[in-house]
Amino acid sequence: MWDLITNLQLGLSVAGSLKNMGLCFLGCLIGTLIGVLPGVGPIATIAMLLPLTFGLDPVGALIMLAGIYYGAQYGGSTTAILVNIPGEATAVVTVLDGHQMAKQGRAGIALGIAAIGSFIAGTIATIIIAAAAKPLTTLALLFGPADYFALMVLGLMFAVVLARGSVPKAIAMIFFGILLSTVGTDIETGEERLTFGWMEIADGIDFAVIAMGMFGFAEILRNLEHKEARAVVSAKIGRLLPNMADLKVSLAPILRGTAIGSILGFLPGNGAVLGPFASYSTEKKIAKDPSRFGRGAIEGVAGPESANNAGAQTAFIPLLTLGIPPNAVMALMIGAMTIHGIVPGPQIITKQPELFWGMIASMWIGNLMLLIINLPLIGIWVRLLQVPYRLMFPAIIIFCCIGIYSINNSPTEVLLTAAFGLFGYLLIKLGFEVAPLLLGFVLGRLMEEKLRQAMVISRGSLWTFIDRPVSLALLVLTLVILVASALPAIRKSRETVFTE
Amino acid sequence: MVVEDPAEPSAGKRERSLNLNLEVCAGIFLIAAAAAAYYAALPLDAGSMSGVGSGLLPKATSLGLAGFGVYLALLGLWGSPERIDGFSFRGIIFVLGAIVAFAATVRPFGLLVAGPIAMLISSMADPDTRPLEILLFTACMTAACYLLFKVVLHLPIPVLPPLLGY
Amino acid sequence: MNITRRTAIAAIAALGVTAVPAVAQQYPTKPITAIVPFAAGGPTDVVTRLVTEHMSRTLGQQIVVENIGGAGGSIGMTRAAAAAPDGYTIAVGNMGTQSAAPALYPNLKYDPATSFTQISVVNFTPQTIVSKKTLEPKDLKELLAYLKANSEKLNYGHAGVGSISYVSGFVFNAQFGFKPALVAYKGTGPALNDLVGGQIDYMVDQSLNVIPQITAGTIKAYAVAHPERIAALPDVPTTKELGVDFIFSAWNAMVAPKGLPKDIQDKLLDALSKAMDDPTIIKRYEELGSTAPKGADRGPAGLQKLVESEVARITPVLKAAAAK
Repeated sequence: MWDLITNLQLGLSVAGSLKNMGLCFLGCLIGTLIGVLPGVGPIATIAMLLPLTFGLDPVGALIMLAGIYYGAQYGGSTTAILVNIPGEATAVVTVLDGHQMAKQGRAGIALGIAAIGSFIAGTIATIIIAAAAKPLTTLALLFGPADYFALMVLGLMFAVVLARGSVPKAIAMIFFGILLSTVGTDIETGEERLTFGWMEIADGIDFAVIAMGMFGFAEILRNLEHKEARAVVSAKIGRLLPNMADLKVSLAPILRGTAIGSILGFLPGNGAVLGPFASYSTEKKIAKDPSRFGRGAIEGVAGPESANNAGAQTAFIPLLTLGIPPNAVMALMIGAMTIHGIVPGPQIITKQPELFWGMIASMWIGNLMLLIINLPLIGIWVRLLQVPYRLMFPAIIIFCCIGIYSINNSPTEVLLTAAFGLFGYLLIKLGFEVAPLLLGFVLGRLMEEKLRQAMVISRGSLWTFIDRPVSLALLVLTLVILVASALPAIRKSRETVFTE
Repeated sequence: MVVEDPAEPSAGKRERSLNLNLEVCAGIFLIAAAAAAYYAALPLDAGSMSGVGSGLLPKATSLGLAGFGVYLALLGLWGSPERIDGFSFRGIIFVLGAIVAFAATVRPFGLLVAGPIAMLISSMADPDTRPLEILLFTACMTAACYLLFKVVLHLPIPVLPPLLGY
Repeated sequence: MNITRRTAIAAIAALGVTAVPAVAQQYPTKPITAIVPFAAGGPTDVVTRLVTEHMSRTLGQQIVVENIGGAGGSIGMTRAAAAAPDGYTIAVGNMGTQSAAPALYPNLKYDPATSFTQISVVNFTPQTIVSKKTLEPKDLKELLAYLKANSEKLNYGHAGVGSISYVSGFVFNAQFGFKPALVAYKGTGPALNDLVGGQIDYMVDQSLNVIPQITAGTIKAYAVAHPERIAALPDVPTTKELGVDFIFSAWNAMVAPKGLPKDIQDKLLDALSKAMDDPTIIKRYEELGSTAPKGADRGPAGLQKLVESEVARITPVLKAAAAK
């Protein structure tokens, strides 16, 4: 305990210097900016800004780059809420209720609760990292491919809960998502799968391409259909910040979301993407009236946003304690460290404590700054919604095009996004929901990879899923949720039929 | 888990509707997609237990998808009366056309050409568009994009045609 | 504050360049694009950013790194091969794109030996033979004997077909007749994670990926597949000193589209050479377990020879594996 305090003191003394505070602020600001811009992700930005950090000392540079990362995570939810575009997998669920809230003139409340939830989550996650990074790493290493597969199966259950309407249609969309995730070169055999000989998708389809096409462009197409629907988006402007009642409703979801996000975040192999989905499903399951979800329920924003931010924070654990990146942004952070002459690895805590603790302290400072940057911005964002739709949608289109282009500097991916826009529009017209497809897409890739690794390692024995305690526990949990939700789901779907 | 909607579609909705059964179309759509995917996955080996092949997941999921397609189609034929809403063809043509135009022009001509082209084409999707307003707006947006993406964020995106020296 | 000033300078430079037409001035008159055919943050990207930052200062023009990932790097290299040979597009490929790719991708649109103007190898990174912490053998000799007897029960982890750890592992296992189960991961990170966690048994991977884990003792190192010991791992013996005939280095190489004028090629090589001789960069290389090419290895001729010999060495092994 005493250690923790001295360590945090050391961290605060590093991160709290005027220069590092300034860099942290700059990072958060740039991060928020690129997060808000659809498609322009932290990877492209950090890569481009890397040369600018060459003149800085390593700690300052990393503090700034980390600021860009979580700033972008945060900014992404702004776009999700305002214009229905999830920039990253973790913002998909924010779209569901967040954008509905915006349509009802509650954009300010949604943005405000996202900011407050993220701050609380970030604070708690920082404490978790500081107090338990080491033991959590040991725990994470126990997670083998089989356990991971079981976790993904559990994750797919969430998709069913996620759905607003028909359950069979939601399951069909999960299948579709998994199918899309198999497009690309097979990592085990090197064969090209379902690419129809098209080199540009040989590495699979980028998540942003699907998300932006199916949410962003499809939504524009749908809005252009009805004059009335367009008017609604821009007419109302409600309260700018959540009030006490909103906060009271949101507090429990924020804490639950933080817990879920923190746990999933430190798992290797990008478990963080599951956090918001898990949080949303939990909130919907335990809500007194689940039918509010998908129609602007504040818990549906507060929980997942907190889970998202907590996960973004705890994803630093494998990076800082093992030197192994759990996702592409963290891989880039490692690249940045190497360029700055820091070899990331298990020894960083003992060899460069000022870097380790400075980074951790800067996370909390960064979260505070995000709150300070973003609360005043809410007024501006909400006012932006009043721009007439006839000007708004060409602007969204041009930002999206540039954003997608910037992912891989590829015009083909821009074309592909247009195709997914049409595809998404068709699916909406046919009464399907897009969110389960995206969840299937995100989980499908990991699930297949882990299944095949587990099968190779166990030499084909399915017992591996039962023998390993972690995997067994997860599978039992899946089964319990399945049974528990199957019975009422049938009843519920009948009820919805009558209410509508 | 049958989800039906016995409520009659509203009168306004019916006017715009294409006279096609929603669930039947949804089912056929899934079956068609599944068939295409299965066809593409044919050469892939599904493998065995100890070596799950590259073909297992694509084949299994497309079969599952086809199954749901059949289910939905039958549901529609059985009596789910919902119809498909009308499509906004104007939106599809101009919005998607704008994106295609951007993709085609960004590398050869750069952001300062591709951006305005995409914005102007897409603006034609909306009957409310006012010519002068959108021209001015496009000019401002193009400048803003240049400042934002090039000057602030340094993205390696071409700005002008290479002929002009940059 | 350094950053804002640099941003401002960059901004002014960018605006200035737009206004000046590039006609018959001294090369380079505008920013140069360096294509890295992999995602930002990987080994090739890191090395490229290290040297191009220094080269920018020598050349007096910014070199902008453009990451064009996909298909084991072949998409980016295809685009580089098709670019105009005016010196404003260069690329940094690696052993995978410049020697393994023809065997891995039957419809590859470039030939590493003939489609480019070679500039130079940028660095060599020796491969290291590593295993999970709990594997029994204590040294390389024991490991080879152990693998001979048990390899069919063991798991070799690699970062996906076409990756360096895949190719080097293939050559290693084929040379000694080992037949482990191959566990494929998406990238080195997850594979290394499972090696540290003991889910898989052994790997042959670039030293820069494994050095931190070796020094921290989370994995075991048996040998560096290199003639000399590397500075970052002074205690790990080399295959050569142990008398085992297995030398394997990953490398990165700077190339330009075919038909680059000789004077521009010289200018780029000169700038790259200055970068590779810079003390800071030499130090960074050491930390990465890398070495800069010296003597005959440096320059276009050395690179051309390397590409040809590596293609000849790797292709048969991979082809044989594909035919199986």
